[in-house]
Amino acid sequence: MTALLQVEGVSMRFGGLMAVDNVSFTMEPGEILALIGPNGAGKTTVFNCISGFYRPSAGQIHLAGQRTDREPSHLIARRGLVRTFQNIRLFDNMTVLENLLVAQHSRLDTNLWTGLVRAPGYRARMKAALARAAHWLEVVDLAAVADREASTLAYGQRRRLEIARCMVQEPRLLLLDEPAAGLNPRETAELDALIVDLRNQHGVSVLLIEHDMHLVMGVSDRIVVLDQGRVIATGQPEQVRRDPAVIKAYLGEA
Amino acid sequence: MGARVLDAAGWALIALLLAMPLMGLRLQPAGMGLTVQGAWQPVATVAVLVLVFRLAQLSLLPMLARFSLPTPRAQLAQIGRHPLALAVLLAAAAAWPFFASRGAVDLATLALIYVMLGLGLNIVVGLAGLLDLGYVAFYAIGAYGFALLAEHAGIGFWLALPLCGLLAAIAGVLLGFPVLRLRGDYLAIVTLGFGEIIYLLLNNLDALTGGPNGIGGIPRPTLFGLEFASRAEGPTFHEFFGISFNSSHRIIFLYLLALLLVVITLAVIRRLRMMPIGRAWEALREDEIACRALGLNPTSIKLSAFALGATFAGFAGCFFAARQGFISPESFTFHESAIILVIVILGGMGSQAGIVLAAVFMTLLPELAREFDQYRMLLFGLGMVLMMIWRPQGLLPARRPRLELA
Repeated sequence: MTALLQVEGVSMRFGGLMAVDNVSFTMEPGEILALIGPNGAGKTTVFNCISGFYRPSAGQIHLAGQRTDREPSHLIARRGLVRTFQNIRLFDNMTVLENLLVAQHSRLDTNLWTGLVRAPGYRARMKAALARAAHWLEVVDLAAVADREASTLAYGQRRRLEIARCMVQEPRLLLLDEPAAGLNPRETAELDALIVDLRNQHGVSVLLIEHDMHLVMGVSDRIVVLDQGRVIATGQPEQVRRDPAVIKAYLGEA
Repeated sequence: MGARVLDAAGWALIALLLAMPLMGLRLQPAGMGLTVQGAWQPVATVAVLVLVFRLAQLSLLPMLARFSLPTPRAQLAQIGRHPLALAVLLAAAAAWPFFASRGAVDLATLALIYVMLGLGLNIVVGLAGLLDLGYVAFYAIGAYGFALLAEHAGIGFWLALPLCGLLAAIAGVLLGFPVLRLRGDYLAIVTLGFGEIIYLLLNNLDALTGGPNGIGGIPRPTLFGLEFASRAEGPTFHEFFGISFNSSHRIIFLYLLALLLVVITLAVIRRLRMMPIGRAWEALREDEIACRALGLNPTSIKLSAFALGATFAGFAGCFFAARQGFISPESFTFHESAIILVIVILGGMGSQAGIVLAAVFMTLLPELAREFDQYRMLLFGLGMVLMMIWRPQGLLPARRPRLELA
């Protein structure tokens, strides 16, 4: 069986800086994998390589057996790999519902003529998209604010909208870049439940970058630890927690 | 207050220092030679003017900003949502030329052309957020497209109309390709250059475009083959209906034709905004990186905005050529691009009703203020400054189309 995501020897060099150095790991379908490490370890750079925003200097990335490291980001997204951003990137002047419709762009009928005359096929796909949007608004508890502009939402709501915007595309793999940043403890607990629910109910695999260790230890099946661009440990939460290299990276020389 | 005076005094001092060598020395003939004399009057005048200007700017502008214009969006924007109100408005607009003077109808036709141009540019600037300073080039391509098609291929207005739209769309894609990677200021400069290139080509390709002399004898639009002329080879309008010839028939016909084109444009763009492509334009304006992460291809979306925006300019250009009967490069200068851009900004980026209002305003104002001809650009600039202080979002800010959840 092929792995869902296969990262093999990926390096990313910015001039003289080796931001990511020979990073390898794999993800199986249905897995929740956390990518952790001190600030500046190269976590977001790995994300950008996987999602096609950077072209790795070396190494290969395969998504469900297909090589993706030379593809533009929008094609990778259409293959079922979608992501959120550390600094939330919503379409602020559009409504919550419109945000969810834009996300389904590649599944809608974008033909100019059928759209202008509102052909039956166009309307059917539009209706399906609205239904999916409505469903996900319920899941992330945003149905009440569907017609509000995204800029008017509270911070926690914005985080949830960004996740919903990924999920309406029914992805295979969801990349979350620090989803708990800026959330209060209650919201973080809800997020914890949501991530597990996404995997259990909706069959999506999740790769997440997170600093909140409580969340990471709670939801992750496995953890990959990065430090200075290299993988220093991989394993189950309990293993990683006791790994001397990890403790050293986080706390410095004892 | 003291801080403001000090600030203004600083400005005056700088003005004084700058003015001294420039204006403060004067050559005086003295016998056979020249002597240099100090001239304190102009220097002092400049310093005082700068002082007063700066003081006014510091104390008046914040006061001006405190006023706010009433918000008409609630009432005016509602009109577009009631089919009955819309029908009444349309009927009034269609009936009006039969009662108005010939000059007024002609002017209204021009206003309608600007409405079309404004709506078309709004796709590119207002919706897709791509600053295009050379939009007039597509207008020119439409106009010259029709003139040349009529001259060399004998094609009439009705067939030329879609062809001109297509031609402009192709030009839009051709411009779009090289500028895809550019954004903001850089894009503005390249599009500005594109507009100038087209203008220079029209002016200098004498063999094809007639250069500065332009092209004349462009055929007028016909009503199902009926011509609006006192005498013609084919059947004429007044003979067919058995009425006496009246030259204002053609003026009214052109107005109604322009009205029809504008209504079609409004309806098409309104629907486009509700379609995936329209939302994609706006999403691209909001955040290109997020678009890519969601599987939207920025290249094709930008190209479609350029192409569709240009199409409407092509239609407008074709109609313009048919209305004038004569075109020359002077109708397609940068000034026109600027006017169209002002219409989009004045109307409220992305707002259809606002653009109609702004286009009418921008066409009527110079006519109403004929006596101030010399100061037109001055008033125009002042208007823009006040607009940016009071209503940066435009006369009628855009409203989001409502969507019903399934």
